Parts: sequence; C-alpha cells; structure tokens
Amino acid sequence: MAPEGVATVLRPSPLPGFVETPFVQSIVERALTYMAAGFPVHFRGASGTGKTTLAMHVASKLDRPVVMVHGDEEFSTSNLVGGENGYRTRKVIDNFIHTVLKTEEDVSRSWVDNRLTIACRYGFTLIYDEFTRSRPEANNALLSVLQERMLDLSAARDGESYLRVHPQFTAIFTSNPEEYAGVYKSQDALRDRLVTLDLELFDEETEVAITQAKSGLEQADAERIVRIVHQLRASGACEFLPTVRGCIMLGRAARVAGCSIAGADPRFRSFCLDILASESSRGGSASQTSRVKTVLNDLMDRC
Amino acid sequence: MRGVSDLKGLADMRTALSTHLRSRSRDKGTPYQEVFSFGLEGLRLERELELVAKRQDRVRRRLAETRKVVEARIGQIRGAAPSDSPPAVTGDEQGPSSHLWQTMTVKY
Repeated sequence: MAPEGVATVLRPSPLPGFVETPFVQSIVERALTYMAAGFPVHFRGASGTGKTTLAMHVASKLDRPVVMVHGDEEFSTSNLVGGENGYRTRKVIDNFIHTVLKTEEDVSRSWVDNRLTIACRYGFTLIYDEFTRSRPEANNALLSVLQERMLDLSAARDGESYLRVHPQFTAIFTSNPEEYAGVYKSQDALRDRLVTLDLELFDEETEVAITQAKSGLEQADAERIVRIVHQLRASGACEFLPTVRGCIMLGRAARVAGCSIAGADPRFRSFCLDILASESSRGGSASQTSRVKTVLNDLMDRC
Repeated sequence: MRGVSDLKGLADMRTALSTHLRSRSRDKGTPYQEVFSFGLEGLRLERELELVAKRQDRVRRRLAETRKVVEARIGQIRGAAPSDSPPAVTGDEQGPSSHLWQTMTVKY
C-alpha cells in the first residue's frame, strides 16, 4: 500500500506470450509515430479488438511511467485534475499569563492533485481507458492540455494557477463505438485533437496466435476454435460478432476440461453453445439465441 | 515571596520584573509556555515547508526549461528539427521527484 501522499504509477510489461504479429506491429508503429509527432492517439473499436492491451503496449514502448484513468459516468473535472480533500486544522492556546487566555483557530482545506495533474507535471504517459464512458464535459480539462500544453488549475489550489505540461507528457485514449450501451458521444473538440485509429477484429493469424498463447492449446486446436468463430461471424446470425475473447474462453475451458476440440465431444459442443451464443446477443432474446445455436450446431457437425 | 531578599535561586526570578509580580509556579506554567513556544515553532516550520515546496516547483520548472533549451540546441547542432518541435517520447529519467510516487508493474 502506498504511503499517504505518494502516488502510484504503472509500468506496463508484456506477458511472456504476448503476441506481436505484423498486424499488431503495424498498429503500434503508426501509433508511436503519431505520438513522436506530438499527437495523442485514440484507439476506437468494438469490444474485444484489443484497444486497452494495445494502449498498454504502446505506453510500454515509450518507457515512461504510466497513469491510467478509466472513464465513468460519475467522473468530473476534479477526478482528473484534483480537488479539495480533507481539512487541516491549527489551534493555538496561549495562557502564558494566567489572567489572559488567547486562542487562535484556523481551518483550511487540503488540495490533492489527481492523475492528470500528476501526469502533466512529471511527464508521464496517460492512458484514458474508455473515455467516452465519462460525460463529455468532464473531459474539458484535456482540451487545453492537448492543444496549449497547459493545465488550468482551480483557484482553490494554493500556488500556481496554471501548470505547464511537461514536454514528455503523452496521452493514449480508448473508446467503444457510440452505439454501445453506457457510452456517451465523444466531445467533438477533444476528438479533433486526437489521431483516431479505428480497430477492427484481429486477422486470423493474430487470433490463432493469441488464442494459443492465452489458452495454452496446440496450434491446430487454436486454429480449429478460431475457424468456428470466423464461420459464425460470417453466417450473419449474430447481433454482435464474437471476438477473440470468445476464442480464449473456449480454449481455456476446453483445456481445463481436457476435452478434444471437435464437435463430436459433447462437452466442447456445450462450451461453444454457452460461450458463443451468449456473446452474440445483447438482450438474450430466445429467438436470437436459438438462431445462433442452430448455426453453431451446424458448424459443430461439420467440425 | 515577599521581596527580592526572599528569592532562593534564579528560577524564582524567571518572570519577576518587580517585587509586586511573581511568576506562576513552575508546575502550572510550563505546559502553557510549551504550548505557546512549540506552537510558534510549528508555525515557523509550516511556513518553511511551504517555501521549500514553492522553491522545489520553481527549480523543477527551470530544470524543464533548461532541458528543453539543451534539446533544442542539440537539435540545431545536428541539423535536426527546430526547437519548438515536439520532444522525443522515448527515454529517460525518473528525476529527483521519483520519491513522490511508487511504481506498480502491470502485466498485459
């Protein structure tokens, strides 16, 4: 646990089996180029497209301490910049001369810097994960940080009113598409200041490598799982396309259960129906789920 | 105590400015005196801390400026980008302020 008044910063580090295919390398290289040119990067894409992992990976390449913020509806400017937190009291009782009692009391509120201020002051890398889950006006402080390289601090804070942003400060944003539940529209002025990289689902080679690395299956088994998921996506039966997370879940479940990756194995068939059918619809409507299950059963029979 | 001739030692003279005044007895007076004197010292130290923090900020700002100028000059010498170009993002220091934060490794 951090001692009081000491901030905790992150140092992202890839797991030993981190997959870096040409597809991933290309995205990372482009992101680093934009950041070296002085622009913050924004990874936008559906769930399961690896936005947060890519943000971490890019941040690790910068070799600077990382401060991470997760967007939330309850967020306000003070959650980014800082605010008054707690009180500091001082009381002097002077009764040195016994006939005279002099008391003096003074209460002041203490200011605590929050993560954006810390990142700006010391030149850390800010990862603002799912920033569109915060209300757009909560992110106003970022506008001057990204454009004028200056952070406007509250008048309640003692000392400086403006903070010059450290030259090594950089920011990486991630967000889901606007039609996702619980997501606000991104602030136009903020979006205009970012270089947005739209992420699609990974290519097959990357998905196989990720599934294999994360589940510990053989390559042939990982390929079989990814093929089922790809065929399900191509069938057009899904409200939401299953992602690489579904592949990893299937792979791990199959490995734990020790079942074979084949439609003939009833346990693997059950895992597919449980994991992929539920992942493919939002409301869990019976008709939608049964449609996906029918497609999956067909795929299993051919598997 | 009736007069100066009754003093038994220097301690009895601590606040006795005239024979009509006598000091509060040591047992009762000392805590009040300590509250006052330590309170004063506390105030002085608080002010000193504020000054140190302000000075630290000034030094940090100046340090950032000097680094920027050095980078710009090196850039000019090497015929690289102009001084107001964005800085390289790789590299570097935790600096003298690294004691202000602790690092947590995150595996992804």
